[in-house]
Amino acid sequence: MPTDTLSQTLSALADPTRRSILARLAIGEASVTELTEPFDMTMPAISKHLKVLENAGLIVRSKSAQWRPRKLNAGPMKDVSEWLENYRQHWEERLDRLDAYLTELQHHEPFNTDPNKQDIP
Amino acid sequence: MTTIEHPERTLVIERTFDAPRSLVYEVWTSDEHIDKWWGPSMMTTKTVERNFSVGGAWKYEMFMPDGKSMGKIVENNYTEIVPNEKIVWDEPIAGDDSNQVNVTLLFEETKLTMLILHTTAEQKEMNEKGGMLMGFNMTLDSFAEFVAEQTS
Repeated sequence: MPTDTLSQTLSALADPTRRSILARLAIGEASVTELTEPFDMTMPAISKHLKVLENAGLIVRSKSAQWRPRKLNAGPMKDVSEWLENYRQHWEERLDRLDAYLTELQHHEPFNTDPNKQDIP
Repeated sequence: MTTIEHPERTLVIERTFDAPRSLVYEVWTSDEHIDKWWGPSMMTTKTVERNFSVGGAWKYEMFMPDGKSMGKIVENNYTEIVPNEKIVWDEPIAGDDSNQVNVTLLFEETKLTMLILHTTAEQKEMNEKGGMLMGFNMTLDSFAEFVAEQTS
């Protein structure tokens, strides 16, 4: 399960239905019924998607009306684009992971591939 | 000393590792290791096919944190290999075939140098200004860029 905000945002964005919902909300706020209409899905299914988007902070419930329309909250999206836009970071991250992996490898080495030689007192 | 032939279109990244050079080289070259660390943080990589030789290719698929595929097979093509010293390949940035770079890895005792050579200085500048988004838009359906515009 993703724990940090960026992972949660990316995970929420990984689904095409949820991206379509966000694209719709980018035009303006909408009710759950309005959001359900374009999809061949039940309202509970759409509600589930809305819940994921809400947990990721990508949408909020408007307080303006009784029917609590959903609206877009672009903050987390900005974090995603900043993450994507940092070109040097794109390459540095590869070496960060390599570094972590090398450390992990060396902690576990030497690998004992012969089970007969294990744990001889 | 590393001489950089085209500084105007090269991005240079250096890193020192607390590991022997042979091991650093091995994790780039063996199938067993590369899937375990390649890619941006939180994403995972799965090798589809790999031929580690000059003229050979490494084909891999990348997955989002929730396990969903980025939706395409990325292909890196090896153009030069000098064991324990140098690996050179062509790579599409973020899987975008129209945004290719030539990556050179130079292995020294504790230091690794990565030279990312762009086709033109403009291509380098475009990536630095956020053009890298184009590759990811295949997955994000232009939405990230759209919202970035709305909020900037």
